[in-house]
Amino acid sequence: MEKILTIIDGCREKNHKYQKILYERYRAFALKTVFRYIYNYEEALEVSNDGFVKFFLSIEKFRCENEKDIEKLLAGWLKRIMVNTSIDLLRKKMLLPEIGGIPEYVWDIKDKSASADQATLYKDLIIIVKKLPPAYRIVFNMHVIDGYTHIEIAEILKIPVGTSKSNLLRAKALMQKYLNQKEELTECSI
Amino acid sequence: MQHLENDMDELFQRAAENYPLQEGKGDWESIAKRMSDTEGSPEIVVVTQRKGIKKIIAMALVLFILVSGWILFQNNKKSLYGEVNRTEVKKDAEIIASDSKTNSTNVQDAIRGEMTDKAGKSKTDVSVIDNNKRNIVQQSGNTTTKIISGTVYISSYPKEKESVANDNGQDHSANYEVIKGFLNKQFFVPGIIKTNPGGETAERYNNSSDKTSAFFKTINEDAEAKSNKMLLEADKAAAIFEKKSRNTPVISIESKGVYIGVAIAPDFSKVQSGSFTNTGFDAGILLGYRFNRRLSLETGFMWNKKVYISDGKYFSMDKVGSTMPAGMIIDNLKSNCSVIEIPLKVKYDLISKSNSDLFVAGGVSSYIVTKENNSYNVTLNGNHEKISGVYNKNNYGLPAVANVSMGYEHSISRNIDIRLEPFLKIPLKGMGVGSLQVTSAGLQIGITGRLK
Repeated sequence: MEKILTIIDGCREKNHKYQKILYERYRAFALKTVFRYIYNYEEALEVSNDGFVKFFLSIEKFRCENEKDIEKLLAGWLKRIMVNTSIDLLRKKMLLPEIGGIPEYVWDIKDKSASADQATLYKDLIIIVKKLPPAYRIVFNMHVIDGYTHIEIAEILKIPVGTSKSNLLRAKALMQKYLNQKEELTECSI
Repeated sequence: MQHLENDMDELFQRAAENYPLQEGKGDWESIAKRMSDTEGSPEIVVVTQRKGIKKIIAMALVLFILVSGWILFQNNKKSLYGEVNRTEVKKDAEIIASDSKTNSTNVQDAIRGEMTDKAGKSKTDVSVIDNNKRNIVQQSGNTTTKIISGTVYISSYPKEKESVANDNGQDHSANYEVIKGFLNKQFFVPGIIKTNPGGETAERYNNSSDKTSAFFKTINEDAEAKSNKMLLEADKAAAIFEKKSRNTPVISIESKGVYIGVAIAPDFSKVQSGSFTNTGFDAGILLGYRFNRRLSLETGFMWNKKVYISDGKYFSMDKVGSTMPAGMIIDNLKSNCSVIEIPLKVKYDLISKSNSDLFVAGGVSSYIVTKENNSYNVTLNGNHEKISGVYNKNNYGLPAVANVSMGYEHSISRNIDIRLEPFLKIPLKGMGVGSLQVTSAGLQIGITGRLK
């Protein structure tokens, strides 16, 4: 197993061997990040590839003083690139919501164990996020899940900070409502 | 579900990390291919600028054609006179032939009467000057001053048919083909008055023949017989004259003087160690002064369209840093500039032949950047973005580049030259808002015309 520093140095030298190693290591993470914004599996694959191209072309500018945190910081940097690339696509699509549900083949639930139940729960939560209107969903994703501040969100989405905050409040209210509905449905089915 | 209500954020964070999404097979090959393509050259397409370039190139070509046409038109007018010259070659030759035999004839004998018109009225506006432009005969009313010596020109001449009477009262009539604006000459042979409008041809011959001391002669005796004999010799002399004319360097006649012209050139620019991959365009006017057969000083007014790509590390943020987002790093940029160039260079003809020159030139050029349109590829918060900046404020570089060139110049007519001049402009100062060291190269194609 190559050390992350060696891999990063290889990527800085544009060595495809190390770039591929890094790609394989982070592609699932990148795809999951993108999918939460795009909600179209095929498009998410393309966007994550776009993000990786940007990532590798700019990796020489990646700096990290503390070696312990390097993987965390690298993942954070990659996530930002993926989020921004996803938002670029959404902008092009005028933030139009995805029509239709998510096909089952995109999920990877292999058994019926306890971990599978956990996975199903997480899957359902992600599906609930999709129900949000696109403008709310983006703010919810960025603030709650990806840790952006409202100021950063406002800059990236080119909206007022107040709009970002209000969108988040409405998103959370809707999420609460969706979760309650789900809880009621679950209780009924029991 | 109570837990969800209390700590919904944390739950969604865990869900986002662990939700079961198919990873797929990955597509590393396409990523690797795209990176190889992208690393070669950042693709920044600015359609409006391309339209602008086309429009400007079209305007420059129209300007080039118009100015070239004007120069050629001026030349054609002179060529008409030149035709008259050629018809007079034989007459010239007659004089030369006779002159060579009557070299001892005293020029003072040339005029000893009055220049009169056919009505017998004396002309009052005729003067004759020698090689050194000294007035050697001046006719004013009935008074004709003495001829001194030397080759004779008539600097002021009759406008139409004239008669000149020698002291024997013999009428030597001739049709003067007077071309306005040209130095005229008269040649007197027995019984005939010859004129040679456009005297430069004769002057050239005269300069090449020390024997000829005077064109302006009157032979008083046995005029007709001698004239016939001379006509026979004139044919030989004409042949010699034409041969000499062909071999006589054209440029040497006007070794000094002002010339103007127009020039166009493709312009390939790069920054630092980059490559000349982007094509711009130069067009403008030239103004020069030739000091002697080899040395000239040139200036002009050139409009340049320069397109170049630069790595971000060469871009200075001193002028525009305050307008850029904080923490932004410029990866690379593509710039499209409109520049007014004022060159000042010395041109030296290494090899100077009858109708062609091989020259070198060197000097400096000042730049005035009138418009700069930059497309930046930047990294902002770890993300790649494209931003653009348009700068209309003039940036001056005095001087901005050292200009070296070497070229070939060919005379297509007496006063018109065309030139091909590969050039290299080496930066002395940074150009534009980013103070980029822009090196340019190209091939200038120009046409110049000497002014009288």
